[in-house]
Amino acid sequence: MPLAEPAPTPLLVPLRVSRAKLKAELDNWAANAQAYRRRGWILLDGNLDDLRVEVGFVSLVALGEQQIPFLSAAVRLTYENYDLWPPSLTFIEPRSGNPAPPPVQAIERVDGGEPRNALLLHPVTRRPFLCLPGLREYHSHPQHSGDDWLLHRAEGAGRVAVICDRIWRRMVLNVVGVQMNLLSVPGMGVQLNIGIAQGDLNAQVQQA
Amino acid sequence: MKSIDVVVVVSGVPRPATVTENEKLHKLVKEVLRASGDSGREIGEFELRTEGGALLALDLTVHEAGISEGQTLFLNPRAGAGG
Repeated sequence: MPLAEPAPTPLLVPLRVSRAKLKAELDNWAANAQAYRRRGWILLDGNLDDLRVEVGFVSLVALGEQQIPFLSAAVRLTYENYDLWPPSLTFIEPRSGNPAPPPVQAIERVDGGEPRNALLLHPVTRRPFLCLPGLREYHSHPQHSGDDWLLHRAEGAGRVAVICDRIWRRMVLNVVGVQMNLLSVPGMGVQLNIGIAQGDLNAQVQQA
Repeated sequence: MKSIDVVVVVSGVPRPATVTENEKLHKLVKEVLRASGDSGREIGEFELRTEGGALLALDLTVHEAGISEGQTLFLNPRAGAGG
């Protein structure tokens, strides 16, 4: 079923207010740019007119003896009505900017439990979203209607650096290499599946 | 007692700080939260990490955590569970 056209965004916060808040975020980014680059966070775009920030996340994938730079994720954050509203996050294909699912999972452990993938399909947008407080898609999800954004705003959950840190630890820092599965079944031929291998974050950071 | 200058990036905002080697990290966190206007928040609501992403226990001293002159640390709110 085709999706309905999204409703126009109402203007609830003056543009100059949202732009000033986003400009502060971009100024802070510039102050930390070298450290972020070493982490693999690459600022693709920062546009105050459109209240938009795009960031790519580069990990190093072991391929034999080589470490190959690999774009684990690219995201667009938009800050309409910020910070009355939380920012919206869309995973994108970095060359075109079109929405596209990332090639990795967003693995996290909640309270030391089993790993889970925080990358889920949103029932309204029908796109993958990161199921974390501080993002508009989380707070607009029917299952989280009781966990209001305003409960998280003061802790900085919508800030660019905080969101990037959460993405980085779930989708980038845990990328370890390439995995290949060879399946040979009589009558079905041979299948080779190639994917990105993600490891245990805790084990990795202890080696850092 | 040796003093060390560090930068703690609090939710994206860099905050310079000076610590001594035998100072516990929770004291450093309290100081930078006060400087950023977040003194009312519990330090348990935050995580202190190195640039490489290693989580630092706040009961360690600066020396025990291996923090060196000029190092940049990252303090961010813990992510609540989604699901």
